[in-house]
Amino acid sequence: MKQREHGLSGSKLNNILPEDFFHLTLESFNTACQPFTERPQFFFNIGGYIIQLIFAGPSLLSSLTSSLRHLQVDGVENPDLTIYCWDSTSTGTPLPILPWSDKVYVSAKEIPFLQQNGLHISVKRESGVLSLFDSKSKTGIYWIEDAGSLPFYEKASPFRTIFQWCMLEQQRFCIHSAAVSVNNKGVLLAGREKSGKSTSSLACLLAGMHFAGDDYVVLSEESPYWVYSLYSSAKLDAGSVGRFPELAEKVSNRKKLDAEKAVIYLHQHFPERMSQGFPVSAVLLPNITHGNKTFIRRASPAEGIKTLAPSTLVLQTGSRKEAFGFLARFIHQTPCYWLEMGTDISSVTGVIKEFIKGL
Amino acid sequence: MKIKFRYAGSHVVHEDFGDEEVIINLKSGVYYSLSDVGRFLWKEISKEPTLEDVVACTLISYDGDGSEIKNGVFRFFNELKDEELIAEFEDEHNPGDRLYGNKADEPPKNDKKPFEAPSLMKYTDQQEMLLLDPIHEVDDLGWPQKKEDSSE
Repeated sequence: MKQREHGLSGSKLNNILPEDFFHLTLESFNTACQPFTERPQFFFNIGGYIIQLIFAGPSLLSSLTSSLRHLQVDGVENPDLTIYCWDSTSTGTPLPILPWSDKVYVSAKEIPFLQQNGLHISVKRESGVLSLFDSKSKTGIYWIEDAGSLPFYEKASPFRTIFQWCMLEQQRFCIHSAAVSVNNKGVLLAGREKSGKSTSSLACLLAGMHFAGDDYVVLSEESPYWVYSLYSSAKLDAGSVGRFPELAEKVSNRKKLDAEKAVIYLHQHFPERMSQGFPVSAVLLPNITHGNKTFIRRASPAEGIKTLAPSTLVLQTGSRKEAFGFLARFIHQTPCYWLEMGTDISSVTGVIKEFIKGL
Repeated sequence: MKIKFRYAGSHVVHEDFGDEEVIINLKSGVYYSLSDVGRFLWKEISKEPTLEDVVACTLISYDGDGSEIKNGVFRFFNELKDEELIAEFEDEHNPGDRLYGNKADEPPKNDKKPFEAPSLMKYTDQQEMLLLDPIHEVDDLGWPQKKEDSSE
């Protein structure tokens, strides 16, 4: 069974308090650091929120920071959040005694074991990633059994669960959407899988527009609403790479496309087009049509929430009720439009650019 | 004791967008939309009415055959119950209250809209994804606890 390979299964429910489990896991991190002469560190900025990553050895460093490099900043003394990252295989240090049985997480994609008193603990079943977050001490822990088994989607979008928890503390939500801008005026491109969201946002980047994300961004309830970039990675179906010949050579996992989506770390190739964030003036809802021409038409707020909410709620580890309320407030205040995408991808970017300029 | 109705619980989230109500059942992963009469009836449920109350207020607000309206409301409420969007309860504190039925509240006949049977639009395209995480909506799991349905 997969959960045994993850090293996250225990034989029984152990009598251990969540606070104690958190501190024991942090102690294990310190033990995991002992074989190494230094602890690599990395600082980055999400909309003014400074996050520090500390690694036990080098095994996870590159995998977990590649998609965050566009947000990298110099070190600060008091970051808003520190996340300790380690794996057991490269450090020879196992997790402490586990407080759950192997039956607990066999069905869910991601299981939030605990969300109380500011302490959050969650396991992703498929990847075996364990995430912990203590809002009081502003501390996160990210663990996986073997850094070599980190899936491509974790590398492309690392720390998503911890980011959700800490952003929520700031009244910000991680939402399922792409975001592009022209002259610091931006739109969200919201849609389900295969709606054309990634394709259209990548096309915008290639056409010279600014880009904050193709799949997952942070939305902040400010006046106006503001979107912040999380990841510089773009994920494309292998079949869609052919639409962008200029990106084919930039795919980071070219040899694995039979099993993985193509991942491109955009900041490595287009650093000047990566944006850390911008105000949101509208929501575009991409819809692939069979026509040649691309055009934009007004959508109702209900169409907007029906497109944006379900796929965002799917990705929520925190309260979905709270997330829905947030999205509803956003949609009430932000106009929504259908982006009826024609087959000629080059015309899509021109239409979006003119639309944004006219907002 | 009168049977009343209310929204089924914290797994039901909903929002009114002017001409359309959008509802999501976080437990089943299905989402819905309501317009016209359906939206009107959904709003009435916030008052925790009896079925008779709802029929009475629908008769006040809409023009149509009485039995057609009654059957339409009954069918609609059964559908909402089947989808676990509303739930019945016995109101011990106000068992006899009637929320509607005062002739003085009734608009002139010419102002009434024609009654059309309410329709619940149902969307299941995200259901599989939402159900992959059956215990997502967690306020307080305790420690070390698990919900029974997560162990199967």
